[in-house]
Amino acid sequence: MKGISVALPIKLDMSHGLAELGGEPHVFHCHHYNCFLQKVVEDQSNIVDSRALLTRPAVEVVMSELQRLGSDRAGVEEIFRTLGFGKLDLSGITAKGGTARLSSSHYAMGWLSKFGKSTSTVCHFAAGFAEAAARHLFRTPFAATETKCTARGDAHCEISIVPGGVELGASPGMGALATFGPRPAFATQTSIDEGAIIQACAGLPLSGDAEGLVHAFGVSLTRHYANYYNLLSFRFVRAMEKVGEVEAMAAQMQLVEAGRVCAFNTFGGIMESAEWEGLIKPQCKTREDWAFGMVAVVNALGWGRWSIAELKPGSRLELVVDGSYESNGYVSAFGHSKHPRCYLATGGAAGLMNLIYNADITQRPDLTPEFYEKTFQSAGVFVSREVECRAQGASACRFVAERL
Amino acid sequence: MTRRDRLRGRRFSVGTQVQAEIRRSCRDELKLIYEATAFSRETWERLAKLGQTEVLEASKINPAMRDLFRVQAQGMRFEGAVGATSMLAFFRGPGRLRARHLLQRALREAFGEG
Repeated sequence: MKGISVALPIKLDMSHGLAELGGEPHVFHCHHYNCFLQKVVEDQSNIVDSRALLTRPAVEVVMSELQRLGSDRAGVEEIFRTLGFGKLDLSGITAKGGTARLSSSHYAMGWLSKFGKSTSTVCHFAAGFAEAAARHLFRTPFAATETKCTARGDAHCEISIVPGGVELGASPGMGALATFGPRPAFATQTSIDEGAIIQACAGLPLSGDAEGLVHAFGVSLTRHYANYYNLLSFRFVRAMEKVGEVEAMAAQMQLVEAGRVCAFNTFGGIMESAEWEGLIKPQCKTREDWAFGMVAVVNALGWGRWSIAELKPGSRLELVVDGSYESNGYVSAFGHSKHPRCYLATGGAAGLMNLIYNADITQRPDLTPEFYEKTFQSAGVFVSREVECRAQGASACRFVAERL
Repeated sequence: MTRRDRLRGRRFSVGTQVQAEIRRSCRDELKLIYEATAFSRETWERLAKLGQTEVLEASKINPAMRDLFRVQAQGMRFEGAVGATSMLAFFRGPGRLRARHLLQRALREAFGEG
């Protein structure tokens, strides 16, 4: 099958567990995570400037990438489509501004699928992308606002671009890259051939279709900007810290919840996919091999290098992540932290254990919102914590998931 | 709740050797899992004639892995692995009803029930 690397010059850097395009790390994430993360921030719009939090990081990271790539208008539209964000038409924009049009949108489609019709526009990332495109193409500041959105019931999405706009911060780029130590001995005590799985995943056709959408693993995927998640999440926590200690704690808990949602839907979707049936399931001899298999797939997603350091069947998982994209971004943009900062991976560790030991993913259950509630509210649910984080000075990030 | 939501979880037979189940999809499409004792290479090669086919020859990377087929045609796409017990199909847009009819007819023929 034809892979995404054919269409865009995405470089896989396996020594850091990353995928790079135009100096920006890219990671696969699905519409469940993208839309849930956005809703977490939007739900606090009475106390933080959620629209700016959701849009500005997009402008910063996309602008940085486009400048490095030197893309023309068609190239910019192609990047948007290939990465799975939808179909963007920038022909209506001149040096005086104008209107960008989306004939399909990952965020609008995802929002409708997950939450139903919205009362407001939802394509904040796309608005930031279009603003970055205008700034890059015309070398002058602009500001973008989505004025029509299919998630709200409009026939298509439209983004108004006007001259002006705020000064941008710098993207963390590839971030503070880690030097990987040796893998824990336990990580290889499995029948799963991780190298073969990574090689096979690289050959999957995970680029946008004619509508600019990537449908794989039963979800709608994007090859998103790692630093979009980083800047959005960490700035959101900072904004909530300014409101109060309780609000900051709530924000961090919600970001971990976004990780659980991601694991349930993306990991679950992967484990019920044709790709899993073909590549991983034939190698699984035990239930625990499903965890090793999932970690092998994660290691093809650009999330750093995940290793299982310990897995006690049905009771405990210890996971080590070298060069997590969250820690790379945090250390580079914010420096040292008193607290762990890998929210996505924390939720992911718990989600993985719940899928295998509580949801019995091996029996291919229908991954509905009702089933999510049932799984995560059941007795013996797995919860996780990050016990060491590079943002705190550790050499790698370490997570423990145990039953509550 | 849409009609498709109400039908979720319903199972039906396609001939005597294939069972289908309606599943939740993340967009406006019908998602079906077809299950059988095994979808052989011969079966896949027959189904591949329904549309444009991509094959990932994973068994060449590691013999423990199975080759993957993905077929795209008007109104549908379906995918699965050689020798696996299931196949996923998604029906969407113009021609989706005809596409489901064609696929299920091809399945019956592939399992010797044409």
